[in-house]
Amino acid sequence: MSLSELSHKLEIPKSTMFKLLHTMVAEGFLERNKESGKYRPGCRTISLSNTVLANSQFSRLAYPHLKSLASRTGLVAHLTCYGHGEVIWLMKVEDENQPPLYSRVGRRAPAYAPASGKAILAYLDAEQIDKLVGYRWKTLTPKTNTDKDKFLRDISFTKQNGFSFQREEVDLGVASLAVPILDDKQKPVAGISVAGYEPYFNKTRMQDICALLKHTAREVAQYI
Amino acid sequence: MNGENAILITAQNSLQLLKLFSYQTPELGVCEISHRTRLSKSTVSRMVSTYVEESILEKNAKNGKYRLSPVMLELGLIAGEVDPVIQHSRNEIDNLSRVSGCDASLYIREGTEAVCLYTSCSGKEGNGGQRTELPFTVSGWVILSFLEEGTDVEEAAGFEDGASYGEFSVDFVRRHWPAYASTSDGAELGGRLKRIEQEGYASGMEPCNPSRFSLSCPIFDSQGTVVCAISITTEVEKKNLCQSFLLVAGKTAQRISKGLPI
Repeated sequence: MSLSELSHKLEIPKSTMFKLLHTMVAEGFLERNKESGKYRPGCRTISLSNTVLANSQFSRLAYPHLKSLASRTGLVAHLTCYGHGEVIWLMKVEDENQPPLYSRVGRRAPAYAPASGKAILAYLDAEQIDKLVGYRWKTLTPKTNTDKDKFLRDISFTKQNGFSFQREEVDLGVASLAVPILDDKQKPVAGISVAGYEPYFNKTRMQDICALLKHTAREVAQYI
Repeated sequence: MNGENAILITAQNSLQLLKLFSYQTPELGVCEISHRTRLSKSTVSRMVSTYVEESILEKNAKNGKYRLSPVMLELGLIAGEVDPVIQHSRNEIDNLSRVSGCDASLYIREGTEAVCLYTSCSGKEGNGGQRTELPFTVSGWVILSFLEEGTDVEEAAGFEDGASYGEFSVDFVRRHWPAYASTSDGAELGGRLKRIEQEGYASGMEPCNPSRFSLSCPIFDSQGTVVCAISITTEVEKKNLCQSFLLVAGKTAQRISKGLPI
C-alpha cells in the first residue's frame, strides 16, 4: 500500500503517516518497494510469525493427530483458533498424495464462513453470538451465507450434532467438515477441520469423516 | 527530512517492545519488558494494553504474561508471499530440498543477524523466520565472508580502499562481537572466513545446534554484493550426503543470483 492509501484508510495526516512508515521500515516491520514506492510487511514480521508457530505447544502436540487424520481421510487437515469474530489457520497438514489445496497457516476469515468457525461459534456464549450477528457480514465467495437466520439454524444444528459443514463458502470448489475442541467446561478452544474438493463430500463419506474428526478432537483436547 | 527526524520515538519504542518476543522469550511480563526496554512500567503497561486491544498481543491468563497473538501469523504469511526475493527463489529452494533430501533455506542479512526467510523440508514449505547472529550460523559465515565496506553506513569509515572481503569481515566481527572475537573460536573465525571467501562456500556443524550440518552458498546481486545465502542442512551423521550436493547448491545459488530483484 502507498503512503496516500494508508493515510486515507487510517485517517492519519500524510506527514505523520510518513514518519510512522519510516519508523516501521527502520525497525524491519515494513519494506518499501523502490519502484512503486509502496510498502509491504518486512522480514521482521516473518520472524514474529515464526515465534508464534514455534511456541505453540498445543499445535505441536496436536500435529501427529492431524497427520493421522489427513492420512486416514485423504483430505487436508487444519487446526484453527478463534478471536475477535475471525478464524485463524494455525496448522495445515496434508497427505503426500493429495492434490494441492489453497490454504495457508496464518490465513484469517470471518468465523461465520469456514466450517471450523461455525463449529467454534456453536459453543460460544449467546452474548458473543449476538455481537457477531450485529456486525455487517461480507461474502468471500458467491456462496458465502450471510443470511443470519440461516446461520443461527446452522449453529444450532452443529450444537446438536457436534459437527459443522460448509460447501464453497470460503473457496469455490472446496468444502470442509469441522468439529470444535472443547475444554472440560465445554468451552471451545480451537477447531479441527478437513477440507477437500467439494464433490468428495457425499453422505456416506461425511459420516465416516465426522467420526474420525470427533475422535481426533477428543484426543487433542487432552493437551488443553 | 533526514532519517533521524523522521523517526517517531513512541512508535519506535513500541516496535522494539514487539521485537523482544522471540523463540527464546515467547512470553514476557510488564516488569521484564520495562527492564529490557528501559521504559517505565506505566508506559509499558499502556503499550501492551493497546496491543492486546488490537489483537497483536494476548495475555496468558495463567501467569499474567503477554505473548504474540496468532493474528501475527497473517502478517508473516503476507510478507512471505509478497517478498520479491522469496518469490524469486521459492521454486529453486523447494527443488534443492527435494533433490538433496536435506532441508533447504534462504537467509538474508538484517543488521548483524541472519534471518531465515524461507525453508523447504522435502520440497514443502517449512517455518522460516529464525534469527541468528551472523557468526553463529553457517549461512551467516558465508554472508560475513563476502561483506563489503559500505554495506552499512556505520561500517563505511576507517577502511582502506582495496581491502579484501575477508579483512573487512574480520574487522566487522571484531567490532560487533568483541567478546566472541577474543575467544579461541572467534580467533579461528577469521581464518575460516578467508577460506570461505576463497572457496566460495561454507560448510560445517551449526554452532548453535551441533547435531545439524549445513552447507551454504552466497547469492550476489548484479553489482556483485552478497545479499543472501542458501543453505542445505541435515543431521550431522549425514554430512557426506550434504557435501555431495555442493555443486547442485552452488548452481542453485548462481541461478537465484541471476535476475535477483534487488
